[in-house]
Amino acid sequence: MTAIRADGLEKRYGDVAALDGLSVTVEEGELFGFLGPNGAGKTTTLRVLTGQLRPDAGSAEVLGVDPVAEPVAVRRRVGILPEEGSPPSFLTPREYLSFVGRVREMDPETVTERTEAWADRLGFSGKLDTLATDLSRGQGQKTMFAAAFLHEPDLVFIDEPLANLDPIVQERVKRFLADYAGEHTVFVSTHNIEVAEELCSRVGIVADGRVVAERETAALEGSLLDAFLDEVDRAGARDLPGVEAGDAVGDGGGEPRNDDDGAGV
Amino acid sequence: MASLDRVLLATLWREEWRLHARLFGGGRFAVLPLVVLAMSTVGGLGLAVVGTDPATIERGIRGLALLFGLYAGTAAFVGGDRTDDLFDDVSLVLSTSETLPLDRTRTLGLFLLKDAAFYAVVFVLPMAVGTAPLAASAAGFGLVDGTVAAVPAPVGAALFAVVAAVGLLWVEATVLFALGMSLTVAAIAARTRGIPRLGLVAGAVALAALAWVTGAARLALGGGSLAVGAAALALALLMAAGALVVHDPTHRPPMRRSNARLGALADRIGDADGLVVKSLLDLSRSRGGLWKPVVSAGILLAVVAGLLGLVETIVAVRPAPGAFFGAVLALSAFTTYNWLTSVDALATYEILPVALPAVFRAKRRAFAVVGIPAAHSAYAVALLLYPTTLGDAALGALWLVAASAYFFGVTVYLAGFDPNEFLFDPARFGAFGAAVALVVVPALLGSFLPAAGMVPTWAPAAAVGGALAVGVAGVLLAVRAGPRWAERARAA
Repeated sequence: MTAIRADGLEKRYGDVAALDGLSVTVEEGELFGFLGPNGAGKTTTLRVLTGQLRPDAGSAEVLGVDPVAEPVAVRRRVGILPEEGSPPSFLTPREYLSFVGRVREMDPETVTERTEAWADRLGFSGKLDTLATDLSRGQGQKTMFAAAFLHEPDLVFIDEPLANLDPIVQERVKRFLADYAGEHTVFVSTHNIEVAEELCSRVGIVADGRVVAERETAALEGSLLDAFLDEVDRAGARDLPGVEAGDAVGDGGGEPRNDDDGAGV
Repeated sequence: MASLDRVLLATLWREEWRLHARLFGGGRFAVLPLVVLAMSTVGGLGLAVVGTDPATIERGIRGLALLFGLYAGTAAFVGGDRTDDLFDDVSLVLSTSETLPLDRTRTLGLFLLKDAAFYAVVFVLPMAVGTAPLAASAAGFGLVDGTVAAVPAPVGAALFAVVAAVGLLWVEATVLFALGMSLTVAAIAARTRGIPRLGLVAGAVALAALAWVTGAARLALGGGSLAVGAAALALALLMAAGALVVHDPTHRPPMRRSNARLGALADRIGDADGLVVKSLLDLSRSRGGLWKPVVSAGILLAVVAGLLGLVETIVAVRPAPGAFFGAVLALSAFTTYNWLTSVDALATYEILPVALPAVFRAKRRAFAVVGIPAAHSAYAVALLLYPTTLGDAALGALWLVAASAYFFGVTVYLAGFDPNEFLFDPARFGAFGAAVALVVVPALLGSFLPAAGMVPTWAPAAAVGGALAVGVAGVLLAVRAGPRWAERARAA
């Protein structure tokens, strides 16, 4: 079954084409990586697929629902973890999760149980009653993570899943996502090659507002970094992923490479 | 000035301009000084026409500049809830200064200097230039009394007098603006050293009382005195320098905790999705809490009471207090809605299965819970100060509810989730001003009818009918605002 289908999505911001005929398909149970350099159109795609943004052209279907026509229906079915962390609110994480549970029409006892479970899993039990405005960025991110999974959705969209999290929690999140996928679908948007390679079963490489290649990570002959750079270069992406690729190389993710224009890693 | 300072100042200035240009529709922000100029000109001429002394008008300009400075001191209008760390949030250059070989105190000083210069040019200058027709009249051009052809001789000297008068007013108002700004900044800096907010408020009240009792405030607002101007400038510089020395950039407010109340409260008021309670809890836990709408309405009451005194002086007639205060105090709807949205963002709801019209509906209910009582508390005080008949009081109360609904509807319709923005967006600000005038002007004129002995038999029915029409219009606008802004958010 197809969980996500996007066909020819276009979205312009003035003269800039954020999405330029982007098409992608994600099957149920996949842990799909949406990998691209900054400004490639990842967040715009995520916002379109979750009904937050209307595309200029193209069509999409998420769990059989059209996010353009029925944005709230889509958001009822999915979980969303935005890149921006903490909610701008004076609620505590416990109250925020209670609020999310109400909006999602969940049983209050289930919300309470899952709130405790998530706080324990991500290590913010001691912050459950601290106002969100006073949380660190990482604690805010953990709250939003719990909110995205609170209703155990069939499909979760995650924008930069490990941003702001400490290494111990990163490992827990990686393990959780690997377990969660299979019965559920996880769509991970990231510019971090290492994360995509380690987490995802399949990766769509996006550059200049379109998916330029897709790769099964298990079937890669070389590193994902090489595949990524080749495809981004081939697409003539507007921003070469110097820093992100450099990070991956530093972690043993591949060989350094130099480009003619000096923007290599 | 060292070249590094010049680079910093220019960069900070560019950031400031881009911040506003980005927020308020790009190039449209450039028109704002012209809007301020037009308002100042029309306001000044209007007051002059009804017989207000030009010196009083100039005092008003200086007073406005002082108040504006006090507000601008919260660093580019980020609001009281972020004053503890405001210096880190409003400027990339400033927030990253610690990662660069820059002296933080010096950078902060340049930031304040930039703010003073920016607002002195963008806001205070057009306010001062708006008094040019009055200055021209004083120089013999005869613009106010309608004799346009009256040109004094020698015309060059007269023109110089006009420019000098406007220029002097600008300098004086700018000094007062800087004084206001430095006072606020000093208070914020003191907060970073642990001085309690109550102590600061007490200090501010004592300072204001001292300035009033000694006549320093009247002297400063009166202008025209070099010694007073120099003293005000010296005080501003002293306060700013003191603030820079005292400000502790490492200060962070203590973490605040709270017991979970959302669920219980939502159940109690039948707020199934918790949207209303979320809004109310956000407001109640922000700095100033639920008192903020009440204080805002109180400030409005003080201003309107002053206006009433001025009107009485000029036309020797007191309007019906109920109708007068009822119509004007409803303007507190704007500030109350601002408080309700200042710690909220549409992005919070865009990731949840909730339609944005439902979010706006919740804001409407939250406004009814806090805004209407706040306005009525100020109205009750007004009626204590200005006793009136039962009929007038009831009519005023009705108008207060109806006009509050109307001003709320207009604000939400025009501004969506960002009511502060239209203070800087000429088009929306103009539309808001016109919508306000459409209701306030007839209501105020109507409030003078009883004193003038001109109350036709149909007037009470018309007043009630008018109130109902205004209220319905407000509700319709508020209802329409949800889909309008939801559509805009998705098309962005």
